[in-house]
Amino acid sequence: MENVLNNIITDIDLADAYLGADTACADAVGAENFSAKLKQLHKEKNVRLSAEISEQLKERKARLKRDAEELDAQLASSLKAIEEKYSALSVEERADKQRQKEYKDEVSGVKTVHLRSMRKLNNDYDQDVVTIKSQQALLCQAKNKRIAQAKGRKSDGQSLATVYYGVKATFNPKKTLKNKNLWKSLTPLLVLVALFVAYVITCSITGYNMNIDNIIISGIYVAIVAVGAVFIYSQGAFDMSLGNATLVCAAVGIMTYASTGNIFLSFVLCVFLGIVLGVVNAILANCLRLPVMVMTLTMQSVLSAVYANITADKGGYIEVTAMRGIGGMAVKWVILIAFIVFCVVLFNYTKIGRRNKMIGANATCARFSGISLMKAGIISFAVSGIGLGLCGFLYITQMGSVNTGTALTSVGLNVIIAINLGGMPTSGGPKSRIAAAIIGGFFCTILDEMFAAMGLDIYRYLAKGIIFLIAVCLTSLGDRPKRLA
Amino acid sequence: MNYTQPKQITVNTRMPNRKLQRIAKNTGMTLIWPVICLVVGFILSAASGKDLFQSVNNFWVFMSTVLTTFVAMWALNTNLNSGRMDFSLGATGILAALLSSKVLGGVVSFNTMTGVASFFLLTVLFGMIIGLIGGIVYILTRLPAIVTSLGMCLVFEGIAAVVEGKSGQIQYRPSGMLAAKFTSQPVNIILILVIIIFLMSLIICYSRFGYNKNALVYNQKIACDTGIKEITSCIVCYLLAGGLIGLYEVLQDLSSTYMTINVDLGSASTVFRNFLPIFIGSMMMRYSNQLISSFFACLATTLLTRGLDNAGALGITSPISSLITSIMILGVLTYMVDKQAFINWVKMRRYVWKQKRLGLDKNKVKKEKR
Repeated sequence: MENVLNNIITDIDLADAYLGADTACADAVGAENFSAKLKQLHKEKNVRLSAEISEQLKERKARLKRDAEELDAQLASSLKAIEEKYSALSVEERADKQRQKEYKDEVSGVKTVHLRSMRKLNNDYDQDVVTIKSQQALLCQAKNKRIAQAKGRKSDGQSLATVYYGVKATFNPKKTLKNKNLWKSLTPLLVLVALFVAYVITCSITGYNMNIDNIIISGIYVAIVAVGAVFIYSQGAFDMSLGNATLVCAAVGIMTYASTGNIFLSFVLCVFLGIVLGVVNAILANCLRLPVMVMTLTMQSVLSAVYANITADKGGYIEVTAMRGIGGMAVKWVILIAFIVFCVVLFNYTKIGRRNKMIGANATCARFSGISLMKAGIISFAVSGIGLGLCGFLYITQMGSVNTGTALTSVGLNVIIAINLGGMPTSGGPKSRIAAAIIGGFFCTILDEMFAAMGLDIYRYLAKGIIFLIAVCLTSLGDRPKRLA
Repeated sequence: MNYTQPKQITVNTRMPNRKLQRIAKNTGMTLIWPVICLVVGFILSAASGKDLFQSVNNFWVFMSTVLTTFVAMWALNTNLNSGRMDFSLGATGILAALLSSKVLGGVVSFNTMTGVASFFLLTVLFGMIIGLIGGIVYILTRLPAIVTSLGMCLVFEGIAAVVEGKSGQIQYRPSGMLAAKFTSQPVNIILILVIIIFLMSLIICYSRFGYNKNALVYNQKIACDTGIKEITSCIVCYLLAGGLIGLYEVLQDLSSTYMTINVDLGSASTVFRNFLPIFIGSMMMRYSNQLISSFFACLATTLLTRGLDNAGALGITSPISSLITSIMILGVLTYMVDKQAFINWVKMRRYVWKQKRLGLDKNKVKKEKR
């Protein structure tokens, strides 16, 4: 079967014969007619093939059943033979410990052979099922190739339909459900969904006014900073100055708008300042080799003082009412999604992300592999800086004011909580994921709202702490050192 | 008659009283920071037309600040110099003080010495218990201390908020009681300072725990391989830190009638405030005892802060003052980390300068040859 299908793909005449199409197509009109005819033929053939496939699958399943029964019978007979062999022995011989051990070994050996045979049988069955189901994909591929050839184009025959048939053939629901890693990575998302459902139910029971907008806005602030911060955290470093850096970016943005009235300039300055602050941190950490955590803690004080200085004449509070609500929710979503896509591409499909993960796994090894820690650090802090700038900008466009007591100040520490709640290990490395930052960001917000809905607002801090500790323990289950960290 | 070789006097011959020389150097290096800060403080105050200490009472308030800074610094440093950053310290102190005020409220009056002493002892005890809980969580989870301490900070803040039923400022005792006068009395300050330094010296410098702790700080693996029990040491560190932060909270709270219940990691700022004395203390530690160096570091930073506070007339406002302090922390940290690189750079410059002076500059010689 497989050979025939392979030939269909490679040999165009066989494809025609299989599809029952003519090979002649003199001109473009002929090619179009031929394509239309081939499509029609493929459609008919595909319907027939579906029926054939179900027949073949039934047949294969029956064979599997027969084979399994044969193996069971073999096992039973082997066990019976062993039993007979040992029952023929005298009472003294049977009481001998060596004999008993031999008996146990023989029985377990036979059972192991049976188990392995069954496993092989099942694997063969799975493979055959995939091959049988793949016929539709191969047929579709052959059709596409033939049509492309008729039109004078080169093609490998791949299309959305072939991908669909391919996925349909290889998808095994049983195996997927048994995949532990998949469930492990999906757990934070499922918990988030469960929490949201619980929140909705609680709101309907208690009559609490469900404020989805508030959840989204608060979640966006944390998520956008956390997404950028994943680049730093994946290296196994901590940045404690994120909150104050965001505050400074927001202050500069709002002051720019207040003096120029240009929202675009305000946006550019916010992002630019974020990048500059990130690069300054990177230089201090990598060029001067300061310990990242202590350095960022110090930078937190410096930035706090900088904010106090630039807003000294306004008493630390700047308000520009004209800026409130600019762009609405749509702009926030666009910025968040664009930044997430940018970060996902950078982190998952470029050298930058791979380097960061390697540094997080083993910095010394990464350095000796030729990775420049300085370059990686500067890029990571700069990307994180973009997140800071965007968060600062979104905040001022939402609130129209900046103050030290706002959510921005605590965003730095909330980011650590969010990233851990999202399922990313604290040590960074290959398990680092952008999704963790997004899930964690919204998790914190929904949790807060959930407690507010239940009327237990005061318990939310305690609950957050306990959930955080449990989440961190679960995500770092395999990475914990023998000695104290 | 025995022959004694005459003493040869060369350029490298040192003075006979080496010990005295060493003591003089160590004393000088230990006192250099407080002296610099005192001079800076005096200059800034004088330039603003003020005295550094306007009255004797003012001086004792200053000493009280030094004492609280010293206690908070050691509470943080006990774990920090072992590589364990503890964000939950502030929350530990707040929770300990809140619990003890709840326990004592209605039972003992803060207007009596018994009430003050009970509050004092109970807060320290609660601090130690809460610190121990934090330590046990750290040991059981085996996660980085910064992460567990963040979690514990949230938990302790949450418990405090639940116990009180709200967050923010709360009044825990009536004003004008004896408690308010307690920390402003010179005798009490000196007494507490002497007791703390004595106890901490015993624990840190002259006990098996202190020896083991220092060994673990140097290299955990080697220390553990030689039989030192890291977990025991860690638990004692957390107990000690909890007790000290309890004491800090008592000293802070006694002078006020309010207590602030922070939430959402707001209490972590207690930790951030004490970095400068820790860094300066670490720099001075090689020249003297750990306790003495840290005390002088606290004295130096408080002197500097006082000088900056007095310099309002020079345009040094509170934000500028905090900016100067923060940049100083960064500078000291950079010096501590890159000291050797800096020394090497200076040596290289001196060598190049010497080569040039002797006409042995390679480039110059090459040019002359041409």
